[in-house]
Amino acid sequence: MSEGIPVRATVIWALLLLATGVTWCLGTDHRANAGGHVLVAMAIPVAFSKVYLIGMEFMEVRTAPRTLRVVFASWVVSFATALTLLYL
Amino acid sequence: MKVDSHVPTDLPEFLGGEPAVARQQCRPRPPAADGHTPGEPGLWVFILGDMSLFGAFFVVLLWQRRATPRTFEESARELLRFIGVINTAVLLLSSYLVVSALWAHRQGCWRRARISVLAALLCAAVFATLKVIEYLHVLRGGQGPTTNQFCTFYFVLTGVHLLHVMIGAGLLTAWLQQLRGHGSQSRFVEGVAVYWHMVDLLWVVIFTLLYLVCAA
Repeated sequence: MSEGIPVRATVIWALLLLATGVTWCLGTDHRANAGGHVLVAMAIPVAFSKVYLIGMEFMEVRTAPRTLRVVFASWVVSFATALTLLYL
Repeated sequence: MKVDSHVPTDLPEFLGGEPAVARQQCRPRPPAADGHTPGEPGLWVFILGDMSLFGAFFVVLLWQRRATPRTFEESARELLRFIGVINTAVLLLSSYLVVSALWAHRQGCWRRARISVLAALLCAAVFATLKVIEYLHVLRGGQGPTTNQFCTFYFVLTGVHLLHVMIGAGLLTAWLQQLRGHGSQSRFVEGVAVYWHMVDLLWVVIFTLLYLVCAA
């Protein structure tokens, strides 16, 4: 690992890039397939998983007071649920 | 008469000595104690408020899509998806660089922090350039902000987000200025980092909804 960059941050960054690839695969050209609509809808929770990782790890919410952790996690879960249900 | 320009490092900062944090030579510090709020606590009211405002826009976008899904699909397919995904990777890279810069700043590794902030600024410039290229492509394709509801959402959401990128770039430049003076206002730089990561996470959702979900 390159000097001076926390290993944990590098692993999270790699995960975020991987999740971007997964979102891309889920969100493109599934319309004609059986269950394609559900696959596209799955792109939304995957995107919000990325948001959760960015918040918890990069924005350091993970080590913040409990109130901030709960409010941030609630934002992610509520909007991910609402948007997924609206699409389906 | 010879003037000694050497600055004694053992003097306190207010007597002209080097800041205590600058004397550290990239020695790792113990991790921050649990319960530390990054940046000013008040900043989080703005951050969460801004995120909720965007969230409300996202809900209205998908709500409106239910009425005219074909129109949304046709317009969304005119967007340059490869630019969208490249911009996602560029912003994720910039976030990683900001994490690296904040880590280096906390260790007192000023040079490393400067390089990381400069690289993040370069990412912001790449993002804005690609966005302008895409705007030109969409406009030349005959779609403007008032063509249909999808186009209105596209220009408003990406336009306001681009404004956030520009504000973030301004804040990163201010951080760079602090680093030139070996500043050590950690609250400020933590706030800049939090703001930049918010810009990144908002784009993650905008990209997924506008470029993928609406086009499917």
